[in-house]
Amino acid sequence: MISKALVAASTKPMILSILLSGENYGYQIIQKAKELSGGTLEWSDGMLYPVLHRLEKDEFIQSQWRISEGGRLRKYYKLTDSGREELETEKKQWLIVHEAFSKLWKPLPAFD
Amino acid sequence: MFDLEEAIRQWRKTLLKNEALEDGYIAELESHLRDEIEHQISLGLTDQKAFEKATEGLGQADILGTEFYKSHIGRPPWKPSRFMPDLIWNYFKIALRKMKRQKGYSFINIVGLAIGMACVFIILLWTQDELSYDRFHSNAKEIYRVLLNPEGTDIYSSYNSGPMGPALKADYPEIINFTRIFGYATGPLKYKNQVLNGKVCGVDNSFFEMFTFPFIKGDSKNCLSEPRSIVLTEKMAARLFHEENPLGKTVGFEWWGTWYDLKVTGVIQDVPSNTHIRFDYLLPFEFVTWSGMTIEDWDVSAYQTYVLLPKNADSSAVQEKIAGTVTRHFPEFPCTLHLEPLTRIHLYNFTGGGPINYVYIFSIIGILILCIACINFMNLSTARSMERAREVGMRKIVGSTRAQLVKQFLGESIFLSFISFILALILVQALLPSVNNIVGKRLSLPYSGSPLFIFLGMAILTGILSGSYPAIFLSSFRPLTVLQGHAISGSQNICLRKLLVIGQFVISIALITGTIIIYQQLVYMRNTDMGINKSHVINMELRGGLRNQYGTIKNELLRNPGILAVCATNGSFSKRFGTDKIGWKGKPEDKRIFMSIHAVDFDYQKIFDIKMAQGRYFSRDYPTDISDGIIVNETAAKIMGMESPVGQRISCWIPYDPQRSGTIIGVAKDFHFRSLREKIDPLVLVIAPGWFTDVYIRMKPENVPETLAFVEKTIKEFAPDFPFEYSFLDEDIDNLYKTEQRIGRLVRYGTFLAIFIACLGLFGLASFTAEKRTKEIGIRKVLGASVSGIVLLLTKEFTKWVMVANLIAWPIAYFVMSQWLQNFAYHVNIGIGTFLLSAALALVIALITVSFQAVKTAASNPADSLRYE
Repeated sequence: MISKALVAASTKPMILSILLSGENYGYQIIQKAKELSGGTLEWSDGMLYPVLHRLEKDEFIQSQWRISEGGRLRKYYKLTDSGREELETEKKQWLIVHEAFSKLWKPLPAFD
Repeated sequence: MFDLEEAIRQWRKTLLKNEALEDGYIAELESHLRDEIEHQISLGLTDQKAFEKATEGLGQADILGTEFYKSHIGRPPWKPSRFMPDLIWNYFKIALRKMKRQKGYSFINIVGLAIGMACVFIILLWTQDELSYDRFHSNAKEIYRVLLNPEGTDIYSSYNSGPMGPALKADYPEIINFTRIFGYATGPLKYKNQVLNGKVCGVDNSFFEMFTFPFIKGDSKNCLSEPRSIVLTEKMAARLFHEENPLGKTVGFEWWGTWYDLKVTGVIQDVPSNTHIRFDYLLPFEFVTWSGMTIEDWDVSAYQTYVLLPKNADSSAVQEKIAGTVTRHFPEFPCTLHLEPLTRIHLYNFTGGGPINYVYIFSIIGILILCIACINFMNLSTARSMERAREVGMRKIVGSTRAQLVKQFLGESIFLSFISFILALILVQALLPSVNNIVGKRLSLPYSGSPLFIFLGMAILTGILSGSYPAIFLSSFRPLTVLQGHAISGSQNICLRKLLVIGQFVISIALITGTIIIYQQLVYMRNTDMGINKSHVINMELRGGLRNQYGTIKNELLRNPGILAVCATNGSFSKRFGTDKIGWKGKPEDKRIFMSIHAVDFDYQKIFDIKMAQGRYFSRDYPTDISDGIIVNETAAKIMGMESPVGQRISCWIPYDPQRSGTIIGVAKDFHFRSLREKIDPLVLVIAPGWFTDVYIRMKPENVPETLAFVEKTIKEFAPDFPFEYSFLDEDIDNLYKTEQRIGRLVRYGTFLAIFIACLGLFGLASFTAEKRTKEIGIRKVLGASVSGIVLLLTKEFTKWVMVANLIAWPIAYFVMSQWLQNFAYHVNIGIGTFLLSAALALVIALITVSFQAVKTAASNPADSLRYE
């Protein structure tokens, strides 16, 4: 299980990254996140939507209502240019953290 | 059978309840829900289970809602904002407009509140000052004053013997330090040609180790260890030395007729006003021996002793330990010692009570005044509520919520209270000089620091308190009702209002009664026949060489025809000596009977106009009178139980002649030689020139200034070094009642204030009832009632309330004032006239207040009030 604080911190880059591969709607985004993390990254479903709306308000993503084949209303989200930029900065930060940890956790070399 | 569509519809409904969830949000959530359900069904769950699982995953409506709020998406567009800056300006404008339109009401409201606040501020300043007494010493909490309780008495005296302090320190490790103080006497200092009087204290050098009196010049260590040293306060030093550096200079100090040269070893900051230890300069403790007094004798109790305990010491345990010290060292004096904390000396009597009661009383009065002012503010605002009903209706119709209106009205009253606050500060500033004059303090308004914040906080609190009820009341109006023109029912409050107004009048009437009685007592004390002739008599101290040359001075003075008599004695009017060492045949052994002794000469009778009941006064025709003659007053004769006192022999203690005895040659009619608070004490008159300290001079009523100039010239001839200081006997006697005059003035101001505030309340109530009865009065007028009839109708009710207030106030006033009068052995009796007078006064004031509104209402045109029906 991933801790609550980490889930909260990673929600934004996770959503933006998922949207990088093309527009998508809420349910699918959640499914994808679960799938990618092998079920360890658990969002409470309701929590995602406020974050999506927030991101839309900040103009990182755009939304559009569409009717799916089954006649169901779905709201699709799409990454904007500023969303991409935002993702780049996020990515950099995560990579720095990642790099730091990988250096720290590299198996120590035996006596030379 | 589970209907999935129905279940989803119900679920949607629950979401609708949360205002954060907009339609769009819900549609999105529903789409999610359906996807999830489909997914669950595909996994093999039933419809119902799938639905339950899916909704559980999404979460409850309220949790979802707060999530939406939390992610700062903001408020749904149809919700009014919590804070609308644009409206603030409108509120402000409306508030100002209201003030402008109703100048009278706003004025009364603001001024009433301002007076209440000013009053509370002054009380707060005063209380703060009272509570700060003696707390500025860094050791304040560890210093105690030693009290002595002679066995079998309830006297706790702070005067102890000289050896006690050193003995305490030597005997008990808990007593870290001690200092003795002798003095609080007036003594002159001389430098070059200038002589100044000042208050002197003799203290041990440890004084500065215990108390915190910062040095400006010199060093606190050993500054008083030299026998001929002196420490001056800044003010005294400046007056004596002006620009010069006083350190190391020599000043003259006169004590019992001899001048001593003292070296200035230090200058300390002026003694703050909030201490009970007050002096102008300090001498080494040993100076008391210069007059022949002893500090080694356990039997002489003349010194105050302060001790220092360790930090956090258990003072009651120490007190228990030291209680028997004096008796152990000096078995002839059975007594116990007690410790009185330094910080309690000013406010608490050791045996209970004390000025702390005034602190409580004034604090309660302050809170009461503020409450009453607040309540009046509420009353006036709600009374005028009709005028605002339409505004409230309109605001509600265009979308104001109730919370918004509450905020508006609260804001308005805080705004008003802030204006009052500023007004109150101005008032306090203006009043402080006269307040200081009355209470004898140096209070000042702080322009920084915590008190100002306390005031500000109080102002805001007042605003909230006084605005809360009107705000809730006004905002509760239903727009439809008020806009249709229906009156608002507020009848459940009218009873409360009546009670409040009656309560205020009770206070006012009680205070009026109190003022009248205090005034009567003061007049009584001034005019009562004390048995002496107190006009045109001056009193002055025999200083320096004057005592030794008294005979010559007397003859010199009497050469002026304006001077009728000169007589020396052993104290001024307010300072008298008593002793229990008068002996007579048949005196009960087990009782200590105190009698006053006046050392006099042959002319005492002429000064005080003493009448004789039996026998004769001292006369130069009987030379034995000087050594053997004694006169007692009627009270003394009665106490001694003598049927024919003249000719009896009694023994009479005199400081320099303790074995003196004599024959009673006369009995003087009782006369008051102390304040009227005290009963006439038994008195013994004896001729004792060695004990003279003061002189009385009786002058002819004509040409007093010239006679005074002559006296000054004569005295200056004999004692050129001394400032000529004298006082008139009648003024001295008046000064004895300073406290009473002070209380009288305080109560008088309090009365004005209470009446003013009560009138405000009454005015509010009158306008409220008048408002409510507008239509009734309109109908009455239409049916033929006259203006005077209606005024009578309106005022009748108020008269009734004032009468009720009177009935409540009378017993209270009677009880409190008769308690107060108990302080005086001789006092006026409380008559029914006093009560009738205060009742009449209250009634007249109330009627004036009410009739203003009543006449206005009665004179209004009925067409105006009935038009809307």
